Amino acid sequence: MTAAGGGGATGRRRGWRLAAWLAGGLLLAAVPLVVRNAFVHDVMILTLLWAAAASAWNIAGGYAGQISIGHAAFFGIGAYTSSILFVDLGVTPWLGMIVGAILAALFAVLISVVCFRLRGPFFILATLAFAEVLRVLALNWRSLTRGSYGLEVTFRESAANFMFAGKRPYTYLALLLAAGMVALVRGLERAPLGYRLVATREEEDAAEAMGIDTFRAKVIGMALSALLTALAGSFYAQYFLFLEPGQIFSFEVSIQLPLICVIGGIGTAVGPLLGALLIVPFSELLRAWLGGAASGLYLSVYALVLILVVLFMPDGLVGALGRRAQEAAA
Amino acid sequence: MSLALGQLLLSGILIGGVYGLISVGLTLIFGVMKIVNFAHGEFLMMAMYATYWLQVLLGWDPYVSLALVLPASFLFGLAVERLVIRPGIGKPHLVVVFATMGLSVLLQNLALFLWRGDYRPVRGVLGETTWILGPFRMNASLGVAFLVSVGVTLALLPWLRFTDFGKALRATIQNRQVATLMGINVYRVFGRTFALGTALVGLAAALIAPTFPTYPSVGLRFVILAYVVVVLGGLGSVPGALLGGICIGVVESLTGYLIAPTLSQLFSFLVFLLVLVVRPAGLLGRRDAVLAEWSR
Amino acid sequence: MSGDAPLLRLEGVTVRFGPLVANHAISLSVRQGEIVGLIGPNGAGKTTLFNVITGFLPPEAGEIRFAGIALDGMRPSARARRGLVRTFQIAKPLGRLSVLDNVVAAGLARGAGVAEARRAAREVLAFVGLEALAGAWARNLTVGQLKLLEVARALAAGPRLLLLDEVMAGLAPAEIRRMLALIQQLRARGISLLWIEHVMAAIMGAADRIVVLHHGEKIAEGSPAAVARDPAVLQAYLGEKYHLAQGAWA
Repeated sequence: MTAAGGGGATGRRRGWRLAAWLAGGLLLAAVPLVVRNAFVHDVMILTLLWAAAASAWNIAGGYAGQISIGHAAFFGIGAYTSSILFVDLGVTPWLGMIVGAILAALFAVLISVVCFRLRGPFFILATLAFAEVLRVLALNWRSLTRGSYGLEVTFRESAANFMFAGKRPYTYLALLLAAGMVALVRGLERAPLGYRLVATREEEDAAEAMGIDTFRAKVIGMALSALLTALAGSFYAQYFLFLEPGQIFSFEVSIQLPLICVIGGIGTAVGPLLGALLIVPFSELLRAWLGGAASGLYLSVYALVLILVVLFMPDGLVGALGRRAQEAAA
Repeated sequence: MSLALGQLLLSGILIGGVYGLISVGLTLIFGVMKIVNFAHGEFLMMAMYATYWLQVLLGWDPYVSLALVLPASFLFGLAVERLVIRPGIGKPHLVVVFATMGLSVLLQNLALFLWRGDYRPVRGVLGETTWILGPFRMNASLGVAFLVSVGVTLALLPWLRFTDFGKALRATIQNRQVATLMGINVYRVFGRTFALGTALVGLAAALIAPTFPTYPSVGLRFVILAYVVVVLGGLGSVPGALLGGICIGVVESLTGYLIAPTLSQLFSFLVFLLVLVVRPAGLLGRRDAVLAEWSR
Repeated sequence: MSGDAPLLRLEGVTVRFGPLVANHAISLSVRQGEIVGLIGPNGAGKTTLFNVITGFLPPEAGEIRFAGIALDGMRPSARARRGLVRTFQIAKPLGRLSVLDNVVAAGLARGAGVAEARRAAREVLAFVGLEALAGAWARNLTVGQLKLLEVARALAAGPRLLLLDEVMAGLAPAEIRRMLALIQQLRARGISLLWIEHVMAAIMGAADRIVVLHHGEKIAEGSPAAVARDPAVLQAYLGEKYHLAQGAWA
C-alpha cells in the first residue's frame, strides 16, 4: 500500500531505493567502528532507540489513527518489568523484555476496551490519564519499584544479562532494533492488518461497512504498538541502568514519540527514523551546549518547532519530500 | 471527627468553585469549537505571573490588577485562537492537539527560562484574614474566590440565554453548519469564545494568586483537574462545570486528607476514567459530545 | 434455504431520535435476485433505515433478518461479512490511499490475502470502469468517480444484498446511464439490491418493486407502475396534480 502519493515504484526506482537503504544502513553500521567519541555513541544509541520507540508509536498513532500521549506507560512497563525481574529474581533481561512486552500489550487492550468509544480528543486525554495513573502508582509502590529513590540495575557484564562493557554492542543492538522496527512497519503496510488499520483511520464507518471490525483493528493496533514500545523501554533500562518513575513514566517521553513522528512523517515507515535523526542529535547537542543554565530555552525551541510543523507541514518531512518528488516526476 | 470532615468539605467546596470557573471557559471552548485546548493551564499560569509582576513592580493588589489582566487575557485569547487554533480547524484532531500541546510546553518553558522555577507568592489585601462560618474557618481570599467564581458562572447563564452573542454561541454549539446558514459568523464566535475562556482563566488567576504561589508548571496542576471537571460536569454545560468543579474539589480535599496527599491527583484521574466509562455524558452533558456516533 | 424465504426481512422496525420518530413500524422484504427501490421525499427516513439495517443505528423496536438470521446486536462489519453491504450517500473514500488500495481493503475483509485481493480489485475496477485511475489518490476523484468507487468497494466486499444509497445523486446524464447499466449487471451477477434513489426515471425503470416512505411511514408498495399512480405517493411528492413520467432512461 502506498500511503502517500499513488502509483507504485517502477522496477528501476525500487532498485535505487533499496540501494539507498543498504548504503545508509552500512554507513550507520560503520560509525561505531570508526568513531570512538563516547558522546557520539550515546547520541547514536539514543537516536536509534527513540526512532524505534517512535516507530512503535506510529503503528497506533500514525497507521491506526489512535493518537496517544500516554505511551510512556508502555515504555515504563517494559523498562520496569525487565529490570525488576532481573534485580529481584535474576531473570535474564532477554526474557524479562518479553514479559514486559506482553504486560504492556495487555494494558493496551485494557485501555482500548475502556476508551474505544471516545471521540478523538477524549481518547487522547484518557491515554494521558492512564499514563499518569501508572506514574503515581510506580512512585508510591516503593516495595516494587523503589519509588523516587530509583531502581538501579546492577551491572554484571555478560551477553546473557544484556550488559556489555563497551558502547559498541549497544550501538549495534540499537541499530538492529531500529532497523527491525522500520522493516516490521514496512511489512505491516503490505499486510491485511495494515490495510485494516489505515481504513479504520481514514473512514471508520466506511471500514465497518466493508466488513472490517474496526474495534478489533484498533485494539490490535494499540496492543502491537504497546508491545514494541515496551521492548524499547527494556533496552533503555539496560543501557542507562537506572530507572525513576518521574523520568520513565513522564510526559516528556510520551510527547517525544509523537513529536518525532509528526516531524518525520506520521503514518510512514521511514518517518520516525528521519524525525529521530533530525531531532535527537539536535536536542542532545542543544542540551549539552546550553545545559541547565537555559533549561527552558531548548524545550521552548522544540515546542515552537512542533507548533510550526504541525500547523504548516502536517505530513512531516516525508510528506514534503514526497510531494517534491511527485512534482519532479510530473 | 465530623468537625474535621466538615472543614475538609468546606475547603473542598471553596477551591471547587475556582476549579469550576477555570473549567467553564474550557467547556465552552470545547462545546463551540470541538477542540481540546492543552494550553489552558498555561494561560492561567501566565495570568498569575502577570499578577505577580504587577505587584512586584507596581505594588498592585491582585484584585486591582484585574483591570489590566482581564482585558489582556481576552486579547491574548483572541490572538492565540487566530494564530494557533484557526489554522487547525477542520484538519485532523492531531493538528490542534499537538499545536496546543506545543503551545503549552512553549509557554511553560519560556516562563522557566525567563523567571526560573522559583515559587512566586502574591500578597492579597485580605492577607491572613480568616472568616468564620459556624464552627468552620476559611481563608478569606479563598472565600472571595469562591463567591466571585460562583457569581460569575451563574451570571453567565442569563448572559448566554438572552444576549445576542450568547445565543450565537449556543447556536454554534448545537449545530455549526446551521448557525452559519442563519447568518452567524461562526469564526467570530470561535475567536470570542476562546477569548472569553481565556479571560475567565485570567479572572481565576487573580482570585487564587493570594492563596497559591505561581511557578512555571502551576498550570499543569489546574488544567488536569479542569479536564476532569469538564468531563464530569458534561461538555458544553456551564452549570455542569460548576457542579463538577465543586465535586472534584471535595474529592481532592477528602482523599488528600483521608488517604494521602500524593494520591489525591490519582483519584482525580480515576474519577475521570470512571466517568468516561460509566457515564460519558457527565452530570449534565450530552452523550454524543463525547462518544462516537454508533458505539458498540 | 427455501426459495420462498426473503433474503432480507424487516418487521415493525422503529427508530427514534429523542422525540422524533424517524422510522415507524417499517416492514419490508427483499427476495433473492430482486431490485427493490426505496423512494420518498427528503426526510422520509430512507437513509436512517439503511443505517438500521446495516447496524449503524439500533432500532427501538422490530426485527431484522438477513438470510434467515436475526441481526440484532450484530455490528456493521459482521453484517457486511455475511454479505449485507452498503454504499454511503456522501461518498467516504479512504482519501489517502490509492483507488486500487481502497478496493483491496474491502476485498481483504473477506479473509483473502493481499495478492489475491489485489487481483480481484483490478477486476472490480475494470468492471466499474475505473481501471485507468487505479493509482490515483482517492481524494482527488470527481463526484461521479467517487460514486463508482463506492460501488467498486461494495462489490469487492462480496455482497449478497447491496444497499445503494443515492448512487446517482450529483451525476451528469451520461454518468447516470453508465451507473444504471452497472446496476443491471450487478443483478445479472446474482446480487440483490435495495436501492434509495431520487433520479426517478432510472429507479422506476429498473426496479422490480418500489417501497415509498414518507415522514417515517411506509405509505405505498408495489410495482413501479402501480406506485406511480398511487394518490398517496403523488400527494407526498408533488401535491395533487402531476403525473410521473415513465421509462425515459430504461
